[in-house]
Amino acid sequence: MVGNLLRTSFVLLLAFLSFGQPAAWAGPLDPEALASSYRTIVGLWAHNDPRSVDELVRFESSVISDKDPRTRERLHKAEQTVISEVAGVDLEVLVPLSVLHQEAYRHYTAHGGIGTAQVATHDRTLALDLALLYKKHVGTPEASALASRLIARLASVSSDSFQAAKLFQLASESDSKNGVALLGLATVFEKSGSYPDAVAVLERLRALDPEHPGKYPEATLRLALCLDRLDRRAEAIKLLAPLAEAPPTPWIGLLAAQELARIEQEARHPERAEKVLRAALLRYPRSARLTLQLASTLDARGAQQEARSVLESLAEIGADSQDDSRYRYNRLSQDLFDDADQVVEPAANQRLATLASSLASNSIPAAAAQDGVAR
Amino acid sequence: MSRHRLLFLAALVAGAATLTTANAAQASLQVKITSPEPGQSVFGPTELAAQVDGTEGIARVEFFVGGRSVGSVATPPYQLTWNAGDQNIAREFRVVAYGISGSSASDALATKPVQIDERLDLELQQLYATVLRDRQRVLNLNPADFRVFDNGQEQELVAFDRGELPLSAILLLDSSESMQGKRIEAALAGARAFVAGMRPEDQASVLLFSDRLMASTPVTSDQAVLNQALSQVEAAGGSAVNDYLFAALKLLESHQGRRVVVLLSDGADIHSVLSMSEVLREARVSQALIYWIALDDGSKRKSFTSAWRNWEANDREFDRLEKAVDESGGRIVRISKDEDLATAFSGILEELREQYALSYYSTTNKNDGRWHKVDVRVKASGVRVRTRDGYIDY
Repeated sequence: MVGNLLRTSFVLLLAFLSFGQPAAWAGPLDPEALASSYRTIVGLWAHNDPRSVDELVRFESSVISDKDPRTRERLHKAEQTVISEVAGVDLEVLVPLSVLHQEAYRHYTAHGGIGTAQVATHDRTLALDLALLYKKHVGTPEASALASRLIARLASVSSDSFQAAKLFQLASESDSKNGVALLGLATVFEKSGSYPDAVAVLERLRALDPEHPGKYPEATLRLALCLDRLDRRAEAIKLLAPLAEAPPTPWIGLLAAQELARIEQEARHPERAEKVLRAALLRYPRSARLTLQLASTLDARGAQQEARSVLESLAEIGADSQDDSRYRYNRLSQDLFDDADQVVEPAANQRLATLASSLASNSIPAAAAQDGVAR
Repeated sequence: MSRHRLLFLAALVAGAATLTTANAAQASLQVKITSPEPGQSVFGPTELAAQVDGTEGIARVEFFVGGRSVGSVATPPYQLTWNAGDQNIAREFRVVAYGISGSSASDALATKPVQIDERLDLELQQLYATVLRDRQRVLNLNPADFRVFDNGQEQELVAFDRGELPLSAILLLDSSESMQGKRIEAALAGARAFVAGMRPEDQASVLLFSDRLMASTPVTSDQAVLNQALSQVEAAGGSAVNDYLFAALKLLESHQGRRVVVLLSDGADIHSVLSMSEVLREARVSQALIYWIALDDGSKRKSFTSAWRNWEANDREFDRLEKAVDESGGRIVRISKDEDLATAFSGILEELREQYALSYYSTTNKNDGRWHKVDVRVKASGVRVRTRDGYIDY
């Protein structure tokens, strides 16, 4: 009885969250047939079958057409029927279901292609809705924290910076202590050139743990660079110097030294820039970037012969240099992906058995589900 | 013709600035420095000598430079050799003669550094000019057809040539992930076409870069070495155009003659640590021609933002790259199809072969680090001249 009520409320809630009023059904495919196919794929996922994401992509792509918005409504209705069934048994299944749709969304963003806009939007929206529902209906701090990480993980694969910012914002609202969500949000702001917004978010992040403002060294680095871009040079130097002198990680140390030297050079302190670069080269002797920068600094102060000598060592550094710190900085923090690996995926995997049993309680044997796909 | 830098320093020795303080108080003992001379410029091993007169016997004569004793002599002649080193600075020399009774006399003088009050810097300026009429190169011009202006003053041509001057080129190929697949293969083939067209006296280097250096060769005329580097590369990573364009220009500085950078890239710098303004400065100093084979899908460039620069800053970088190319006297060769890459490389080599080389000694040089505007005019109707905009007078 309680299960039925819960199931009914979920149908309505899902419909409200994503579409407002349930849309009129118009299409050649039987809703039950669509729900059945989706149920089968969920069964595969519940049994950790490696085919499940590909099958979901194939299934959804065959139903949704960018040319006909009603196709998305049709699919959504079928999938929410199944989700209501299983979530009615145990709300924890929302976690692996959200991850399943995240994986499908990740597939679309990675592969792109014509005609996938609607289906990609569908999966992103559904993954988000499921995370929000989980947070709202489970209602514990642990659920909020997990939902926050589900959303941050979704944001980290978003190909659209506006959507990513929105998702990171939601993730940080779901759990105000989710530092990596704030780092993700700040990175999106920084990449879009919104430096004041990035600074505000990074300062919020550092304030999460006032005793340890350097808990997120990447945040400190980003804060310093954003401050510099806002002409708050002295503050930037104050943050960068310790990172350059005692690097928490090699890539951050390398970047801190480069940027500190750049700022000093721009401030017409070439001797300070040179000192920073020479110290960094002792730590990272195979850094082509530091070598180039030192050559430029020497050149700017008139030591052209020395600059050429420094540059000639580039050939010795050669092709095997793994000097990718600047490339890495231009991407979302690895902390986000690490967080996803360490929290979201284990959480989803732990709940797969629950998903399987929820399906079973709705009289959909897993073996039959797998047979369905095989056919 | 090599790039000559003839520096004549004419030291103007000012009048003697003797700080002689011959000790007249000690009438029985007089001393005078006879070497070095007042106002002389002193470098390396230098003779210090003094003449001592008087009725009293001499105990010793001690020489001081900058207040520090550098030696003493007890018997005539009162002289010694002291190494002044190679610093071009003013020095104060002092000599003290001590009599056997305890009396003393002294003399002092100052030497001067080489005064560069008048520095005649005769630098042969070489301009490489492409003359076009209706987009076709004009190849039948004579020295009398050209007029060269340096900071507005007409200059006299001391040499005139066309095309046959050897060149030192750096082929700077973007090998970032946007070049993956057939595009990098086409780029390598194009660069190999350039190498194949080189003459024995030409030299080149290959630099393949992404956000890091992928492959490089020394500057060489050995085509096998160059082709080896151009045989295979896996395009990957981001792009750091500024960093490696700077490196190419800097490395060319030590090579004489006609210096050329051929850059192949979509121009979208993302990961450089150097800004294009630093590259622009280096381009002005190096005086190398920059040819940019720009890979794009039309004449419109793409604006973008990254964690390193926002939209405006990236647009500025594009502007400065275009400016660097334009100022250098090179040009942008826009390519929308990969299959046109080989033609682009060959076309640049052909253009280099057909350039006019105009040489003159500037009458306006002041070695003041200022930008000199250069203007080349051709006495022919309907023609357009492309050459570098100027140079830094250093």
